[in-house]
Amino acid sequence: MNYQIDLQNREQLSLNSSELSDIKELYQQRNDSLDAFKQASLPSRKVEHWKYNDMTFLKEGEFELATQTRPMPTSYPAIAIEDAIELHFNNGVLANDLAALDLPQGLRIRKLQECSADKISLLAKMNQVNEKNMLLNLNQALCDNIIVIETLDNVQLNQMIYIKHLTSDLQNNAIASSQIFVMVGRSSELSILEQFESELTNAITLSLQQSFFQLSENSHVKHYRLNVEKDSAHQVGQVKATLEKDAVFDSFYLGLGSKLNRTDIDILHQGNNAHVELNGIYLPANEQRIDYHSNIEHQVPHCTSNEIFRGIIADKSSAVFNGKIHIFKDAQKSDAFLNNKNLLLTNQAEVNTKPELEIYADDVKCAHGATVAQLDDKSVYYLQTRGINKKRARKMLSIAFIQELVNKVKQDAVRKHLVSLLDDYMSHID
Amino acid sequence: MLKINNLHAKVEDKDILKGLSLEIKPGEVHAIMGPNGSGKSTFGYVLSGREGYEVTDGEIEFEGKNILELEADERAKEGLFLAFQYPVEIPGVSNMEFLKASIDATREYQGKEPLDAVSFMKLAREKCQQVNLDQNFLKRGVNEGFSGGEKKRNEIMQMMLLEPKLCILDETDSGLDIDALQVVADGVNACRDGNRSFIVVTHYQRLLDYIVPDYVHVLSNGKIIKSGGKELALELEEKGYSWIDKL
Amino acid sequence: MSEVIDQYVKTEYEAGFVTDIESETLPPGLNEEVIRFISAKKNEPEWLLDWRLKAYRQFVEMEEPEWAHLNYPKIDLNEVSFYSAPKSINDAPKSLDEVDPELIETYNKLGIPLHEQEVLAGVAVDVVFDSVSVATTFKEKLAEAGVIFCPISEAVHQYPELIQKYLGSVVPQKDNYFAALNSAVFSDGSFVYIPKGVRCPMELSTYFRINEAKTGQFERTLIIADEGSHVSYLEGCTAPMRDENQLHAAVVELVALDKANIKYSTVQNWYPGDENGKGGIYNFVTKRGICHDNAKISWTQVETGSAITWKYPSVVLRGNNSVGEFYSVALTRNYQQADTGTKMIHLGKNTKSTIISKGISAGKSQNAYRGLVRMSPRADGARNYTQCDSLLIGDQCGAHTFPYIESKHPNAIVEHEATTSKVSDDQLFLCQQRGIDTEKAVSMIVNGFCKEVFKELPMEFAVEAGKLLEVSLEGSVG
Repeated sequence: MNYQIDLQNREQLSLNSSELSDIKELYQQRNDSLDAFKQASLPSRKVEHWKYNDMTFLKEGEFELATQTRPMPTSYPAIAIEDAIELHFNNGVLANDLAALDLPQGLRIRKLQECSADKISLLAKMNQVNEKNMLLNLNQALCDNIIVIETLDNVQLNQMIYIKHLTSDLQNNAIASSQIFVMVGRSSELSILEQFESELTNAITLSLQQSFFQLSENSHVKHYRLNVEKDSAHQVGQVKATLEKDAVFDSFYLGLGSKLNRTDIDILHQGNNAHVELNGIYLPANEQRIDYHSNIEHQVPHCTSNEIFRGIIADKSSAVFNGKIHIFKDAQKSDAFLNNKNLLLTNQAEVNTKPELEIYADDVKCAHGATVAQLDDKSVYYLQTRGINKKRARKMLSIAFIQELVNKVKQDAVRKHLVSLLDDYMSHID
Repeated sequence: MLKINNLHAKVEDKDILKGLSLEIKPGEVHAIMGPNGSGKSTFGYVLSGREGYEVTDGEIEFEGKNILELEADERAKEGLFLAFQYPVEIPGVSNMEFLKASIDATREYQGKEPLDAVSFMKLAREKCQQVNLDQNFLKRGVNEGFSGGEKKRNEIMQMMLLEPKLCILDETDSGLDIDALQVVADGVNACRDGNRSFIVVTHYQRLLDYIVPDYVHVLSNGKIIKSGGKELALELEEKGYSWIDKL
Repeated sequence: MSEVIDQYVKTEYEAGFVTDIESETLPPGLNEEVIRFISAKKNEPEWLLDWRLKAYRQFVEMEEPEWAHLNYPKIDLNEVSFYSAPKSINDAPKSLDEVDPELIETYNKLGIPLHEQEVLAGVAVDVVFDSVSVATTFKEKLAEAGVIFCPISEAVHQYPELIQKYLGSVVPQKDNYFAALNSAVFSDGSFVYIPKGVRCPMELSTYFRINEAKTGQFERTLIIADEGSHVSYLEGCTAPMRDENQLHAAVVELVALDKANIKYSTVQNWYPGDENGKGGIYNFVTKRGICHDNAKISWTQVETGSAITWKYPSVVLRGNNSVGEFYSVALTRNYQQADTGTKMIHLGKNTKSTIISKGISAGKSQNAYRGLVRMSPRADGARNYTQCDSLLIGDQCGAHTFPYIESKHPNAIVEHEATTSKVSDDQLFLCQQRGIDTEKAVSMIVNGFCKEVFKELPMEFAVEAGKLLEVSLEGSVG
């Protein structure tokens, strides 16, 4: 049965009848999210958190919720990661058989409906109504593809969890919807890679995807989220992580391609001495729109954050970066640093950056910086005097601009893939 | 000049000084040595009246006056000077402004007229020269971007400027190379005039080659457990701090 | 340390006396009749009445903005009186000698002895009391240089072409809710015109004071610097202590024609309310300047007063090579809330802007910097540098930074930096150990923190601003 979502007539929308909607722990949360979705204004330039996005595609009206299970095509541009534990989402629908996965000791991957009531309640909590991003509320109201990944305490997972996403082969305008919920036990370590690809279609696709992370005491998570979609794809996604005492979340982002990619990153420091590392590169070209909204909440004392995002904006594209650091009252001894640098390559490109500080404690160290600039003429000239042509010189300098962040990717296969993507990207821009 | 009797003090509910007694006469130089965590820095803070350092028992008499009830700035104005181990930076406030405020406050307390700007500048420049600091440094923010050595020399320079009665040097030698140490020691020795007294708190004997003490005390677990002449420092250096545990 | 913070919170407002003068005050409430009354009172020409009514009609369609980081009960405009004038000056004084001696006394209490200033400082002063311009000194001397400096109500009659050409040209009537309100009901303010190539021979200055209870003050200032001219303008503000909140919604428009240079300095010390957050001025101000080719506008503000401050002095850099500057110190304490900053709109080529903002929060106050730097697609070679620092005193207050950077030009360079620091126990102890008491130490540290901004103020003002901070910080930290 097809579930139609008419974005222009939201008030008629009711909860999707599905296995998940029947779970009582989820019902209230889904209903609240739906209400919030119906009541909020559709994203437009008048809404602060969507101020710089072009959301005209939403006027298309009817979208169909993708529900059909399709296998992952072999043409998927996979990253050669040895021994990875793979999950496939095609149009948001899980495409592989969980039972067939060969999982190491201490790791469990299940559908939400197979989890205990208290796990489901935890997830419901992660799915609280989102005040800033109404499209995430839509996902929270109707998502039927929720996979729970959990480790026991003291598990050092050597294998990478590799999640392949694809939007493919759709005839009508469609919404793909999925969530993952990663629960990491005390003193456990895991790494996880999310890759988003798409096939070029005539239909408009909107992929709604949320990844939730719950880091228990002293746990360590390495996370990569690579958005490499084609120009017809729209994604509105979220990464949300709660960190308990001594937990470390190291998260890397690449925004390359897609008609529109809006990713909200919400980090909640809830235990002392937690640390987050957010690094990202965005490289919109053509008429692409890439938007990263990060919000780091220091709710308790002695936590640290380090965030670096860099963007190169080419052609007629635009980028938005909104990085907020919020230090709660009592969160003394917080140490937070944020830096955002942008290169605008043409005079039809546009960047809007807003690094924000909201501070309610006095004994804290917070600093942010943002710059927008062009490649340094003197450096280009210097390279030219050494026999390198101008185009090549500009490319070298552009790569240098983001090299620091590429170097932060310690996983070899991911970094190599990243470098090849960047080479390809560089050969297409002027 | 200074009489300390059975001093007990705590910081955040932790007892650090546990019955320290010490008497210092005008012109004397006392060295206080001890391992890390023995309470050396706490001693300096308690003497100078730092907030959060609570005296729970004992007396401190300075020039015949009980100073326990005095605020830190009042003790400073009475003539008690602490040279910090890690002088803090105060961005935006120039050294000059800072020193002028300090001298004015001290002079006012002593019932003297404030120094006019010209005499002040003359004096400050003179002292800068004595500790080998560039005069430009007067215009910079207090300790802002100073090297470790510059910060220590700045402390000594202030000491010379304020002419206190009793100086407490809190690990003034830490992090200094031998040349910088020489400059600092020369500054201190220049201030020895037969009346001014010194408490030299240090971890290493090295400093005492340059600032020769009259007495050496060993501080351990919040108490002075051994006192002697300057040869005690050599003995301590030779045998190591573990030796005192056996005392 | 907390003890002294408590004391600091209790420091009293020094300019909070009420002047006992008979005045003519309109009953509270706003409608077209009120606007007609104000206009008639000033014997205004028809076009200006129409202009006001147009603004009013736009105003009633608008809603009070809510995007600022401010939390206050909505203003009930039916409680506000939109016109108040000291009665005895209805016949407009011709010179200072004709001004009500009580008024003069008021300004003396504020430390603005008009006569003394005339003689000593050579500052020309226009005084706006509640909503009416009381006296303008030095008129003749300025006239020799061709400089016009008079109440805007007078300028309407004497220089109608200038007013018609420029009024609302920088801040249109419907620019925002408060600007629209001001356009409808503004009662007076200063008008300045500096002719071509003239360097204004003295600093021009206005003091504003709200005296009447339940009165809103809606002054409007218009400064036009013709080609190649220079002017420095100072503005100071105070208000008596009253329990209820009073509204101040001013508009300032600056026009810097080719190669002109305008420096506009403000020391704002409106009544901030008491230590429980009761009373105080709601200060909603729209200030904006337009720079033509090679022109420069520099805003410097020291904001220590008002219960609510909503203020973004901005520069539209329309002309090529034009320069905009914004230097700000905003100090909040008790329950004060400030949401202030600037907008630098780069339209022309090689335009440059500098923003230095220093926010100091103490007590239970909230202090936010909000700024916009926009590089248009034509802003070839434009540059912006922004430095935004916050200093926190005590752990009950908040310091926030909301910078918006929008760039559409590859050759434009924008740099933004922000830091947060506190007055640390270590710093205070070091000062104390050198004999400097904590109060003095805090004031030294705060003054040091603000140095970059103070050096932009004209000399007399810098001293005043320093003193003001000292008074505000009295007994602040330990």
